[in-house]
Amino acid sequence: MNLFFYSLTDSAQRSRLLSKFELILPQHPITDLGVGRGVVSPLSCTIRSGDVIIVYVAELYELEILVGAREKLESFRKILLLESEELDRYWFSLCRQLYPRYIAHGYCAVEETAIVASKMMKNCQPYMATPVQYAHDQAEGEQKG
Amino acid sequence: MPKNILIIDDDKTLCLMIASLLDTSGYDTQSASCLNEGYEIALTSNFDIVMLDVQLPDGNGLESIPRFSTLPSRPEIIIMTAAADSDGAQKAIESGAWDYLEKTNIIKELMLPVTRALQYREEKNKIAAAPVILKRKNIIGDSSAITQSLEQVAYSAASDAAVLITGETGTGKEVFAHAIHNNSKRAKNNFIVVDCAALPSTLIESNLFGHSKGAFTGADQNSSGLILHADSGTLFLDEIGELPLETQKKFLRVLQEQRYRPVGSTKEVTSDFRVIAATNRNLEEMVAKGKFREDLLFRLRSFHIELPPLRFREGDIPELTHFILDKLWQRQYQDPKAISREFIEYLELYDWPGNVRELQQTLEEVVARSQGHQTLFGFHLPGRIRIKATQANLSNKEKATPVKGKIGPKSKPLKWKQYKEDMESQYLKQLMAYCEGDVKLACEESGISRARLYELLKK
Repeated sequence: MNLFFYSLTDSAQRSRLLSKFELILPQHPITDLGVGRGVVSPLSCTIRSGDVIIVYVAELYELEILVGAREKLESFRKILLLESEELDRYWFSLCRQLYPRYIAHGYCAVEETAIVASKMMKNCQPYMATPVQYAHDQAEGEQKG
Repeated sequence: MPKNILIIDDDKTLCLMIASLLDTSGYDTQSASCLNEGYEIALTSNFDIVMLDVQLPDGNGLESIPRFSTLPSRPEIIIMTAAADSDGAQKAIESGAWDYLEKTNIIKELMLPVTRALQYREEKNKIAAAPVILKRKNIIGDSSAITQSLEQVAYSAASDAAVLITGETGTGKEVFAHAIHNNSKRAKNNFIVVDCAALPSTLIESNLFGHSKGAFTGADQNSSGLILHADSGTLFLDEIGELPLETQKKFLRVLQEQRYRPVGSTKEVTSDFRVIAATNRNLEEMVAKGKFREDLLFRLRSFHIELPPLRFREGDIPELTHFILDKLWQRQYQDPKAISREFIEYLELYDWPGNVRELQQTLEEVVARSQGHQTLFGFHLPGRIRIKATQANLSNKEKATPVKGKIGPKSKPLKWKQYKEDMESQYLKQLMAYCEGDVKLACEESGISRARLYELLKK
């Protein structure tokens, strides 16, 4: 199971956040999906259904764009990290259209996001063959064969 | 139109008494003295009710409930017994019987259950006659297992009662929760997801109920909470089994009264929401261990939908595969590829312990591996799937043709050449699946030279 970081636009705050997550989540390597409108699998790993993604949203218009392209984020378990401190009903109604697992904003947002992401990663049940699983399958195959 | 009732009992006097009572009330009755005779009569006419004795000369009536309830007319079953006991009653109800009556008072007590069963049947037929158009986004397949689940979705969407969705991990509980919401009268309002497993106990209450400014360190403004966000909509509690006991108690009160107090607030807030909960854990076991509140379970289980694992959804894998692959190719900006029959056969032979999610993850890996290829072959699948599928295939073949290639005392042996070729072919398939098509590795593992291996593969 992978942990990704993604935002629509680039900024100094984005880089700061990414560094902070790398620092406080050493047990879960975080992969930067880059910036832009498309989510393309990075070379280092394959995006899998159920992967956790922290989506950083700095401005309202970014959220509007993300809602328009929400199908691209459909297979992820999403945590929204919102820059804005004061959120009105419109913000929330947009956020809800992305069906996030958690919305973090304000004072403790980064710490909360890290705790939730970490808990999600622990609870995820990957079914892809890890090298250990693969070796086990092979050994089992050998025994049966 | 008079209603048809079939009475199956070997006590002919009782049959006559019941028939005469029902006949005078305007029903058409027929009688049979054993199960097989009763079944034959049942096939000739559309019965609304079958009254079934338990102890019959050719079998047990309780065990025959499914046989009769699945007749084309889908009759209601009323069990009659001379020796009523609680186990029998439980079995009858679990098997779908309408009622379980003691013979001693049957003449006195019969009319009420018969009238009710017929009334229920009439209403059921009216509902069944009205077409239901169900929005089933992302629910793919037409197997009988998934069709049954969709019927339950339709029933629960029509009501406003709480729904508990259970099923193995990866069966699509959230997708079904969305379907219930999207088909309900609350569809235009919010669908709020609460991931109970992801929220630490320190965050869960303030998230659910909201908090007032200054309620705790960091609460520098009022927060409305997810329950309020779900007002007029649906609150989906995923992994409800992970909800802490203390929060369960508070949430139960919210469900009962639709009112609650945000953390640190003195004012009560109301929210009109519908709750759908999901879990892959056995909540009854958790109740027995004191880890889940029984009263909350009863509240949540007004409707219970148990989702079938993928291995029970016969025939759904090809359609699901096409659907998932189309979405993935679109997402990855790739052109669609051809899918070989062998690719689908491999997928169908695997047992998918991780269900639809595992299938999706497997296909995601296939899409990543197959870039530049025009057709998907079994070879593109991960080794563990090909190995298990090959093994399943071999064991199926062994079961189907137990004598082929084996030397049994009475079986005619194959020609040596034929036997050797069969075994060689089987060995090569297993070898190449094990080595994921890597010829170098295959040579190392088998001890066969590269040239010889190519020669054998060519055969």
